Amino acid sequence: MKSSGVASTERFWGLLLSAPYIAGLLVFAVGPILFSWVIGFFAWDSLTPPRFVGFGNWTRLFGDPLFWKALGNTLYFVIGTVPIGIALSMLLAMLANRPLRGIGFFRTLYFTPVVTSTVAVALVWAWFYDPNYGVLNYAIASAFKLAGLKPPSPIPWLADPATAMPAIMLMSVWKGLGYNMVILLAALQGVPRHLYEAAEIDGAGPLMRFRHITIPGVSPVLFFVVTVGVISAFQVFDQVYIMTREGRPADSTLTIVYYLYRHAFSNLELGYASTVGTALFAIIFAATLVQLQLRRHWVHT
Amino acid sequence: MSTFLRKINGAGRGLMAAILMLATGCGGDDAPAPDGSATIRYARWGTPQEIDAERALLKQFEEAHPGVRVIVEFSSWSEYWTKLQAQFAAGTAPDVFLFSGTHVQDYRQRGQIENLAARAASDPTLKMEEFYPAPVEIFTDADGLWAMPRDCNAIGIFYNKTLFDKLGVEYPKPDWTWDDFLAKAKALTRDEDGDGRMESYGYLAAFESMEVHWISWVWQAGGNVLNEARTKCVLDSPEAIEGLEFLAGLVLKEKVSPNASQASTFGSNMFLTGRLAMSSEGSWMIKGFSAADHFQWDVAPLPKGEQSVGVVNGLGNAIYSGSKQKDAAWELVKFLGSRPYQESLARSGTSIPALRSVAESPIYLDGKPAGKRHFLSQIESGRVPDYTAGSTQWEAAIRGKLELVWMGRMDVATAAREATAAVDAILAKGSANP
Repeated sequence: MKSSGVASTERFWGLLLSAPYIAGLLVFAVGPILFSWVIGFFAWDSLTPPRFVGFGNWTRLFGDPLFWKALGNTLYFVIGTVPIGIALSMLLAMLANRPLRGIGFFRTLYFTPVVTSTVAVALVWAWFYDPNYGVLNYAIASAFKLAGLKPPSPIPWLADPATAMPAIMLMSVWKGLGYNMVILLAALQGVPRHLYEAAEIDGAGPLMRFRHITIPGVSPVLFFVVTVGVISAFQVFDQVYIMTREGRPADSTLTIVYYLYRHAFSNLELGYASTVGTALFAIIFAATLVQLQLRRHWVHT
Repeated sequence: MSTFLRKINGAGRGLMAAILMLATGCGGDDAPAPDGSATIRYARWGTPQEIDAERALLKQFEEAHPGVRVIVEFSSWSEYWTKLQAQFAAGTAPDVFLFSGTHVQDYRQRGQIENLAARAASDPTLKMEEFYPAPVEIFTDADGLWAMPRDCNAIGIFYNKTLFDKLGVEYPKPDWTWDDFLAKAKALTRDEDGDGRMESYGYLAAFESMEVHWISWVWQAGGNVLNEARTKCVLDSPEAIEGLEFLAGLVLKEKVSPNASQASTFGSNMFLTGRLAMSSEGSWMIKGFSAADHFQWDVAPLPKGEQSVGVVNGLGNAIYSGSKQKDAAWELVKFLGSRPYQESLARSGTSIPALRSVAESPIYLDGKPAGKRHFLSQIESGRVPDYTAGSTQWEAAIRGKLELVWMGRMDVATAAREATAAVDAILAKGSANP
């Protein structure tokens, strides 16, 4: 048939034109991933030939209390940042969805942290949190003074195990707001206007409209935002690297990726670090599968 | 099997090399030219302020060795070791690099560092005995010499004279003891306005650095970190525990030192705020503190415990075993230990020169602080820490436990026991799989 000739020509060009991308993907993504799965079964310092250790790295991983601590901290971070971050993004998206003068300016403003490097943001926030010069402690002290009270001792946000992780979470939520906001904003604009009008005529209040029109309308996008948010939250690293080096204090901010980094680049244990990476991959994969299962119950298609 | 493994290793290194080349935009071949001309890469950590001085000195070297060009690669201390490791893995390490005792066994047991023993023995222009013994000892083992000495460093008590004067406390005497030290620390810890927050602290008992903060105290109490063969950790001995107990007690019992979170409220270096009376600091801090103009300060030797001993350390310059310019690299590492370079080091205030005659000359000793000379006497009587393969790992393991002690979450004996077990595990692994 004639059309199959066209199709095969198209297929040829399609493959040819996407070849550079596919080659890049194979060499720089698929290759290293497969390599790390294999090398996870070896003791390897990157300088001398690897030594096969079977499941040795895995038994070590499960037996290391620090890994479990890092996993716990990472889960704490995921649970502490994703739901709050998305709820706030949703709120912002709804605000930004109003026909206000200068709304473009506000949309840009909220998106700025997203396009700023995490390293720069983390450095600035570390100054916010500085017990001596930080604006946060200054604000607290000023508020106390205004109320006629004696200001409390400055809070060492990043040096106290109870506040270090929440401080990092706050910064991360702030940084991620704009990204989710823009995506949710696009979704909000896709919800048909007439549904709101019809609901209003039927006497539905703002909450009812939000619950029964907005949420189902944006649910496929919400699903995307939650899934991607969970995946990237599991991989939190930069903030910890910059703000509380070594996962301090007392390992309270030690996350899985920092744990991996420490073994790979301080301890020369690239085999073990690869095992950690594979374990994290499995954890994220499982978390995503669970979300795909839950999807049927709340995502409106 | 072993060819397969070598292939895996090769593939991994190739990948590293590719990524590194993308990241740094360098690579390529640099075989020695027949006319003796060479370009050598020399890496060190340091501050941006040091770069120009370093370049000017290397110009001298280049003039003395026509055809040899030196490219200096500066990194900050925090990224230096990660970068070097990646470069080793990719086979693109610099020809010459600044090196510390902490890392020497890790890399030399993996064949990354050139053994300099034969060159040092046969070079007629070189007299190793002109160096202080410490930096030579650090880089020497049964198999050879792994770096050429560059500098030698000691730890002292930096004290704020202005604060001592204000509170009417006598300056430390060179032969002071732990008891004198504690009495002064108590007198210097003051809550002037009675709000429960100290306006000044006597001392900052920190635990972060084995070298700077605690090993001297453990030694003075008669303890040590490793046994003589460096095969087992002995930090759980009663003597070592006594030393750590004294330091932790300064924070928890005597309260003459802030804890870590209190200290963090004084900024990144508490001594510079002028509200810390005494601080353990390395001799390399002289330059950094010289900028402090709101108080006077000087240096005292460490107070004496049951034994009088302090830590001495040193840095050296090593040659990459994969370098294609080893002859030129050897000339450079010699130059970095030679008089012109050592004199400039002495003037900079960043380090004590490894060359004894320069360290003991007015070039180093003149100028403030007067207490600099105590560093030199400590070098004579001092001790070098026991480094092994895995030093950075076991130091980190000990640090993790001490942090809990300093927070008041674990007692010293338990921490010492747990740290000892962790260090033993690392030492056992290190010897089985270098």
